Amino acid sequence: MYTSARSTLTSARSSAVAAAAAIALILIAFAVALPAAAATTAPAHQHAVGQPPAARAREAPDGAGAPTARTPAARIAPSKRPAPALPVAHAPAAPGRGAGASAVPTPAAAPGAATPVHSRLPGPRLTHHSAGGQATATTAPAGAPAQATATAPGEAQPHSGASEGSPRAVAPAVTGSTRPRIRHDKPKASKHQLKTPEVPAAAASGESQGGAAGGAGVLGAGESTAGAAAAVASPAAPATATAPQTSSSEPGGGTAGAPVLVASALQQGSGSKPSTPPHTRGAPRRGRTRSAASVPAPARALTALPAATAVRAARAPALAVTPRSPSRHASAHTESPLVRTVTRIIGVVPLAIRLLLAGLIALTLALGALSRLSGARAHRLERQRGELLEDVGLLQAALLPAPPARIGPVGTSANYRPASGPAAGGDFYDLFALQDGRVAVIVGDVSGHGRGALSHTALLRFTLRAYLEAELSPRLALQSAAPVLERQLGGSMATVVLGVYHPRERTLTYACAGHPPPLLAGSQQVAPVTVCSAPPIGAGLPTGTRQTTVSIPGGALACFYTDGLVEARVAGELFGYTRLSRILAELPPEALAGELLDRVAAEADRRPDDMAACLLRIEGGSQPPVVSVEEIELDRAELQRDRLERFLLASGMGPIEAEEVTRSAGASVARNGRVLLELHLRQGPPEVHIQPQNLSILDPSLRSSVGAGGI
Amino acid sequence: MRGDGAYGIDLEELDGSAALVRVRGELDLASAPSLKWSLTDLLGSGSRRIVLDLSQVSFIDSTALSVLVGLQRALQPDGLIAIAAATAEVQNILELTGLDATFEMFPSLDDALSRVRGSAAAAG
Repeated sequence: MYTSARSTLTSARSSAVAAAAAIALILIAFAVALPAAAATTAPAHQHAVGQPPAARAREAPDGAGAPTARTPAARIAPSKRPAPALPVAHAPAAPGRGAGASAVPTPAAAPGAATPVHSRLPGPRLTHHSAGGQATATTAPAGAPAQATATAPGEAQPHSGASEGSPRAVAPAVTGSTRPRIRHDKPKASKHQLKTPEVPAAAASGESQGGAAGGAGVLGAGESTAGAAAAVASPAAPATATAPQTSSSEPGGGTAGAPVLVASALQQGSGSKPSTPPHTRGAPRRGRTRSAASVPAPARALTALPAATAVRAARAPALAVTPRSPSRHASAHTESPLVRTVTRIIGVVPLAIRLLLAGLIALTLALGALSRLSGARAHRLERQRGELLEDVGLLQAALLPAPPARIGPVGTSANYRPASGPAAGGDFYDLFALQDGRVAVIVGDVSGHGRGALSHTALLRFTLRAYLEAELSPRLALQSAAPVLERQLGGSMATVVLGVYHPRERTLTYACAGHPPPLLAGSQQVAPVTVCSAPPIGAGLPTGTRQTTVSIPGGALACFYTDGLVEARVAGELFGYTRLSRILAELPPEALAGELLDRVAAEADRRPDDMAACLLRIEGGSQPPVVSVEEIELDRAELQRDRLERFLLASGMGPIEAEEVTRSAGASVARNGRVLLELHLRQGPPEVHIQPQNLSILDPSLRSSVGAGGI
Repeated sequence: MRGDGAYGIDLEELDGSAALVRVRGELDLASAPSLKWSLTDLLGSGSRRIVLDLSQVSFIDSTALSVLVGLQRALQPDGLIAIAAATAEVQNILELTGLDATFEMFPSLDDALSRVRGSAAAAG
């Protein structure tokens, strides 16, 4: 059980950890991809439709302010118009531009500077020309969708700002219509080179064609889709993700670089020095111009700039750069393959599915948390169970002592079998030596099981033992202890038998309180009178009113036990006294209590209650034990209920004698309140002794024989 | 009539303060709690004189006896328990445990019922 609990725990943990890791991963990719994907969506769609970038641009005028997806093309188109101000895009930097071009994020737009941005873009390279005041947006030559659109400085700026409203929408490279030049943004930072991954020229060109129309420069990356994916990845570090360089493709001499990124705008003319935004990293060096090869490039890549980037771009005074990395190659530089793959996958997942995934992730997290919680609880319970079992073990050892193998001439043994579960039942016993070599036995059973029973059994065992050690007879010990115990049992009831064996007199004296009397092996004739038995402790009645003395002249085996033995079931019946007596008689001479219980258990089909037994093996000859004295203590009420008469008849006395004794006892009770009647059984008629019990029952010296002796 | 071992209990209200409880099967560690709750409910409903028909009870152990003793004590001083038609086995157990003097015992259900009604008449 424990093992399985542990393994469950372990597996739960490992699964939780695995789940958490997976979830973290997915979440990260998700977070990264979401904005980008959103951005991409529109453009992609347009693309599909076959609209040229320019077209797109028109559709989404600056004002549209879709913050997210702005295509470079868009910028271009509007370029001529003033751009609505997008929060983002305002880049004061554009000083170059004659007018207070404020936001000139677009690289291309570098007004004054008219720096064509030159990016080493692959096929379609775009260049922005922004020749000093003019806005030129030209598309790359032949249908090359070039990415970047060149904007006239003046106009361009606004535009860019505007259109780009969407942060991410920075236009990457602009293509000069004819001259594809690419400018590098940072004027000063020449170091920032874009790392542009190379894009296969072929691819670039192939696509570029479609896009060109609008003259907008779009970066076409060779791959449209890839663009989206790449974009996604790039958001975080747009700058970095830069266009791939293609060295070869461009005829013009430029390198056929992949369009990618951006340009940060800066205008040289203006003299503004843009600080290089982070993205700029990818920007091509400024100043470099490349002939524009007309390599068509599909535009899509542009779109996907994450807002974050845009913001950054905006902040950068210089210009907006937007690097957009069209191709995945670009992203490859910065992102791990795993993230890229996940990102790409997520990019094409519909929104509904994404929501579903998010829900599943949340669910997984919740389940993981639950799993951890239950694991912790299992641990705690296991520990507590261990502690509890330990406690129960200690208590049980205190309640069920291991008796010595011999006490004087008497072989002693005791044993216990719980009905089920930990041995926390209500059975208890004790075996100990008294003065003069006498042997005392206590066996009892508290109603109920578990914790409450444990505390009660301890109380009973030690209290009764104390009274016996005070030299009280079993009957008087019970009678004296019962009121004390009853107050502390809290409504529970306990049955108990106390016995004392006197080796010199060879007598066994015992008193029961609601408990079965001991069995004496091999002595069928020993039939103790059970009529008028004393009630249990805690029943609210006086107990310790009966006592029996058995004479044991020869060897004998006395068995004190709890009712669990006789209440075991055999074929649906009670095990009973007869079976128990037989087993006792069949026990080998050296057998101990454990063997007795084993034999009972072996014969029984079911043991609904605990079993406890104490054995006293008395050595001697073959003479059988016989009951020698029966005692009963009576008060007025009991006399009125004919208890004494029933008792006398059960003892073998004739009706007439019984009636006489009853009359005598009645007279004594009338005088003394309570009387003790001793019935000495012997060959012939029993001898009756009646003693008053009204005073100092604890002091034997005060006892006097009142009443008639024999009849 | 002997019980087949399966515990069962039926409660029947005789009048406002008297009830007849028919029990069958074995009254032991397993069934004692159920018996206890049934009798507790009975006390809660105001019954003060209870007739226990044990004619179909084959066995009663010390735990169930403690329930009956508890009921007896709860009914003090004016209530009573009348045990009717206890089987020989149950009578032996009651005798051995010294509890036969605790309860009023009647050989038949009718005797017990008339005792309860007589008690009610006396009280009324």
